Amino acid sequence: MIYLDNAATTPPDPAVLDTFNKVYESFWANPHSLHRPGERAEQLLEQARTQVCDVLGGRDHRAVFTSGATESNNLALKGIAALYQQRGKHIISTNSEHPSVENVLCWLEGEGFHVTRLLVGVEGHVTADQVQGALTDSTILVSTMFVNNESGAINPVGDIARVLSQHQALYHVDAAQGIGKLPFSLVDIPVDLVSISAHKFFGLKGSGVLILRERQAIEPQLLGGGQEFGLRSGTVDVPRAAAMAKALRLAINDLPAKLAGVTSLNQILRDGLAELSGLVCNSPQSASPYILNYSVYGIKPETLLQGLSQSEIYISTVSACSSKTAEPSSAILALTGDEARAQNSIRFSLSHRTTLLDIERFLEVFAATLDKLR
Amino acid sequence: MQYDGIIATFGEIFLKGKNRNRFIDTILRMVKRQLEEFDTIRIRRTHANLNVELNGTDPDPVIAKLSKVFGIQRFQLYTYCESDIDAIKETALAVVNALDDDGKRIKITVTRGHKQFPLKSPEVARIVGQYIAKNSNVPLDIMNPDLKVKVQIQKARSFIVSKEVSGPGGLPIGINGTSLLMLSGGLDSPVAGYLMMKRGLGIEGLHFDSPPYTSPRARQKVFDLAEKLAHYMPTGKMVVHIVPFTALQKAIFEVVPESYGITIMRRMMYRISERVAQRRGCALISNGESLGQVASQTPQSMLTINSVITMPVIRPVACMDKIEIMAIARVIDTHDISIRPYEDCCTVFVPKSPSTAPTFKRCEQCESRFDWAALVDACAEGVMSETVEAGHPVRIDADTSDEICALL
Repeated sequence: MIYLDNAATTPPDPAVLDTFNKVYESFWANPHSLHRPGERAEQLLEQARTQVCDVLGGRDHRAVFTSGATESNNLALKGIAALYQQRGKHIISTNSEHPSVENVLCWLEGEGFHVTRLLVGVEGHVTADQVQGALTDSTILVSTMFVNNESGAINPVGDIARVLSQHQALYHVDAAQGIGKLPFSLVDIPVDLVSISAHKFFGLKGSGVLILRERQAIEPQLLGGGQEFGLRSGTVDVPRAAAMAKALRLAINDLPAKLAGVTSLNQILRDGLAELSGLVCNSPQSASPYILNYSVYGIKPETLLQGLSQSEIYISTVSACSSKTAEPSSAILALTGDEARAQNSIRFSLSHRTTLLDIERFLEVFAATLDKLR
Repeated sequence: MQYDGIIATFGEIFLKGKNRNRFIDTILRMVKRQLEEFDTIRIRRTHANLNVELNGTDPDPVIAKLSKVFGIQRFQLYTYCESDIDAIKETALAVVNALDDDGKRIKITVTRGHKQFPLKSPEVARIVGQYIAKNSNVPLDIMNPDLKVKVQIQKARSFIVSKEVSGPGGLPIGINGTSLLMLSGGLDSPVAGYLMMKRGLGIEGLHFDSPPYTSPRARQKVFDLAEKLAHYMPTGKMVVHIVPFTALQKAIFEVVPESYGITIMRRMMYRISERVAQRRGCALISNGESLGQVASQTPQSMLTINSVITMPVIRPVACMDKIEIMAIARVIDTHDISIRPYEDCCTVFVPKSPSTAPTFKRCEQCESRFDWAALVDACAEGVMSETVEAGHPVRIDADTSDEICALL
């Protein structure tokens, strides 16, 4: 099997699963119980929380465990909007966000908020100048993704954070496709809120984090027993929190070497695909090497995907989160401005476990499949 | 803008006579320990201050570290240049152009330690000021400046100080001996400990532990607080004594009327504290009592409680409002630990209506009902001592810690 759909999800690392199982066996108590087993579970939970922040350089930040990046994005956007609506009702984002941001923005518009969606440029990202230009006195929040899930385009989050350091608006970054893959440190990139998802870096599904500044208040979206500093009620899933901390540590471990490996495979893949006809690359050279997006002509992406599946090669058409709808890829439409290209886009997403052999074999089968099906 | 270094100036230790050198040596040792992790930094001692040469290190984390060294009054961030008028005016221009806050009106002041320098201080100030006025938009205001840019001309080179930050003040720890701090785990006692250290005293903690009435988490709290306080100690370590208080506490609440329970308990705690303090060579006891805060902290209560011992008891937060205490707790990072909601020995048996004006006579009556002396002995002898090191929190259940490390 050649798995090139790592942006949709990754398989859990056996070491992470092992942690999850062991924690469920010996730390299953409620971390808020006052007895000894509860104490042990709490100790583990807090250690996991500290580790997540430490790994990301978050000296002034804390981590709230959630069910995934979708929940983190919902909590960040709705929570900040509700809290600061007295200051203003203006939010800035981009026109190629993930649905878990875009749909929340649409909902907020229904609640009376005004959303400016900055248009991404030819490289697929927005610029700090665009953000600067869109800021008004009533802007309370800016939300951009770190790495686009379809094109791999990288937003200049550090530059945007620096622009916003002079403004009241908070900066939220959906880093689901970036953290664990690209270097990211809150020391250099002082953003206010960050959404993370474990299953994008060999962790577990149903496991996310919202990083926020230590003293940042936020309107909770789940009310109940006041767990997670009152920001996210519900008995905390300690095993999943531990698995998150472990997966993140393993992902960051030796990151430069992993990134270099993926970068070189990305180039080989680009070079190989450049030799084929009826294929155009949508991912800018400056994009994350983990994601490569192409448009194919003369064949439906879905057909190609099924054809490759027969040879146990797995890719995706539009992002898995929106593939149930027949809509064209919004990110690719935003990037290229070309409806046909957006309709016909396919995505290959790599991981540090992808091998040169995988890529070579893929290129061979891909060329043959294209020939056969066209 | 890159600052070349930080001058740390000393405060009131300059009022001291023969001991001054000892004080400065103590500060220097502390500074070296705090800055261990920064490889490129060089520390020079001059007769009047310490010069921390940054060599490219970001000044903010350095100042954060040095803010834990009592005895430093001010941090002056400087850029240096050759002791030459052209170099001084060029550097001063670059420095004021790079100031963070636009629109700040500045004034150039000059001190000339190097008396052989060909120009006098007012002349240098005038030349530099005029040069800045001509070559930049930075507003100058000699009468009401927002910021004084200080040019200090020395023989080897000159310093241009363009930013000043307050230091922690106080006196270097160790010069005044050691105090035993009664450390309950609440907000007040760590702040009291901090203020004792600020006056140059080392501290050792004393905690009364009453399992099963108090949970291990309460003890953990005390160790975590001690870890925060240890950062200020010259050794980076703080000793915490844990008193096994259960038997005595039970005896008190069996024989003493409810309204006098806390008073008698505090009297016992003072007796035990004095015993431990004497054994440890501490000349003082300190605690977080604040006037009027709870029943045992009225003047009348303090009188009846304090009278059982002769050692001086210093109460640094006695006259502070809770808000002021909390503000310091935030600065020293103990606030969030102190507010963890676990019972300690002072909260577990709180009566509905404690006496706010206990009398000696009734105290003596209460104490005549049981053999407290033997129980006090047992507490003082049964103390367990633990050394808590800055940056290395003590976990009361190290087994679990190891288990957790392996899992994460």
